[in-house]
Amino acid sequence: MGATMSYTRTADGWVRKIGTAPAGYNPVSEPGLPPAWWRVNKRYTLYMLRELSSVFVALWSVRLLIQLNQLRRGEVAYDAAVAVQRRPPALAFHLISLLFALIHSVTFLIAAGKGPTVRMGGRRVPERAITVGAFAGWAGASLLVLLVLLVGGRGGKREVGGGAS
Amino acid sequence: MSEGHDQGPDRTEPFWWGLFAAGGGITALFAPAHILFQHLLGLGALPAATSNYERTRRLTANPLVRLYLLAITSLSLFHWAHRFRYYVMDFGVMGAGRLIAGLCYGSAIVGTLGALRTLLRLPDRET
Amino acid sequence: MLNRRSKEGDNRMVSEHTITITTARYSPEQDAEPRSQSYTIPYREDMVVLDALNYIKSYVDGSLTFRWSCRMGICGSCGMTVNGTPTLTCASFLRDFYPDPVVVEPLANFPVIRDLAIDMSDFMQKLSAIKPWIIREHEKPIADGPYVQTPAQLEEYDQYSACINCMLCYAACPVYAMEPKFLGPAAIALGRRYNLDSRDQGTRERLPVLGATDGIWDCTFVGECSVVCPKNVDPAKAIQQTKVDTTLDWYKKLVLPWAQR
Repeated sequence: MGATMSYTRTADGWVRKIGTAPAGYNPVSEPGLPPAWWRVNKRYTLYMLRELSSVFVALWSVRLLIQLNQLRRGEVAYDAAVAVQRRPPALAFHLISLLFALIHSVTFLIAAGKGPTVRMGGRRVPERAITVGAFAGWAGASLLVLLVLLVGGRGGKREVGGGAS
Repeated sequence: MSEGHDQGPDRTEPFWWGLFAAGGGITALFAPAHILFQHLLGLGALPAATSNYERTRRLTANPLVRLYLLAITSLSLFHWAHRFRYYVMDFGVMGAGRLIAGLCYGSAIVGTLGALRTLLRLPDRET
Repeated sequence: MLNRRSKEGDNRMVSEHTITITTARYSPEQDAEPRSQSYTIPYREDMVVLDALNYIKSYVDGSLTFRWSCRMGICGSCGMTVNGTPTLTCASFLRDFYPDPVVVEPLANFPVIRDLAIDMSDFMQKLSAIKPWIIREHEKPIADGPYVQTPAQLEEYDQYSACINCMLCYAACPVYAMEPKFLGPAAIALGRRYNLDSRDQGTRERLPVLGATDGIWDCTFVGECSVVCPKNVDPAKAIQQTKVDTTLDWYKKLVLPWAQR
């Protein structure tokens, strides 16, 4: 098990120490948690990454709206916006966003297993079953998105296939 | 250091938490697929609707699609707002709680209004 | 080896092997700041950290102050920080650290009374605030017999009733470290234990404390409380369930204000 904070409150204030033996006892008299408290063990670090993921997910949704806004400007503007996505900075941004979106999904769906108390047929559904169900839902939702993207918007008079130039 | 616990139940927190949970759920289920299939593979490997003006226009003309887009963008902003407001405390910023909360939820509200505006002004499908 | 007389002529434990225990020392009347002190004591592989502390107190330094009682993981008295992790010292074996030194400090996030003994009055006050007893709207008369509970009803709250009030969860919680007003994992889990008990009718009465801003809402689901809990209470789960229930009730009241809970 990793270390957690080692943090002592004395009569006058706070004395804190981070780190494990044999780093030794190294009291520092300052209130509040040490700034690097979340580096002390893996779970704290994952927690901080998980919280950070919400920033990238929000950025993605803003980005989605910006792309939709381009739709109003007509075909040329929209195609240009799509073309920008192929450039390395956009690709890098989307790869990082994907990584954080995955962190968000995995941590959120596992957490979701703990929240609600679901009953079916009088018996309580075990936590693991809820979590498996949540992941199955994730797979289903992803499939739905894929299908809509593949099939959507087809059947018009002027259909141009695939990606724009 | 311990004070009396007679603040009474927080009357607004359940509202924000509910939005946070809904936003977390909808983005957890749908966001990775969007990023992977729409913004990465959809640029070439996959014939995604969103890389084509006509198809996107037709697809987003559908009111259900617009409703979904409003839900996922707005809720993801509220999810961020609630989470971020507590995230700053993890970095030791304990003061100005009301101000930070106001800025976060305020941004989410502004973002939601912006999303509404964008989605209402999208072009209709060509006849 | 076990029954050999010591050099000192008493029946203290003797062993060929030794281990170093470094403990925090702090006496408010004398010390401006906590300091540490190291002791090298005989080591045997069946020793727990509490055995080491008791050896030190009995044979090396009688001034070392710490709490303990049952030495079997049920009283919750011996919680301390061992090598940076909140642990029950009666459940933490020296062989998991040997031959490295072991650092023992008081339980994190609580004021220190002396050496390794902490002031738990904040927790005690929070525990009372959630009313950890069966609350009835109408008492059942004795003539009507005992409260009856099915195994299924017991299962609803059983996990949360295992809490031994050891406060390791408070030591592990970064929110409690930064916000001492936070109600905390154990208090919320115990509040939920009673809310879920079929004999209890006190959920509404506990809501002002559980549902307060510094009640469940300060929690950001770090989850370390459940990791360190020695009895698998899973307070993180209890808190999340309480958030879900409180939120659903809030929306229900909003949509159907006339409905009773």
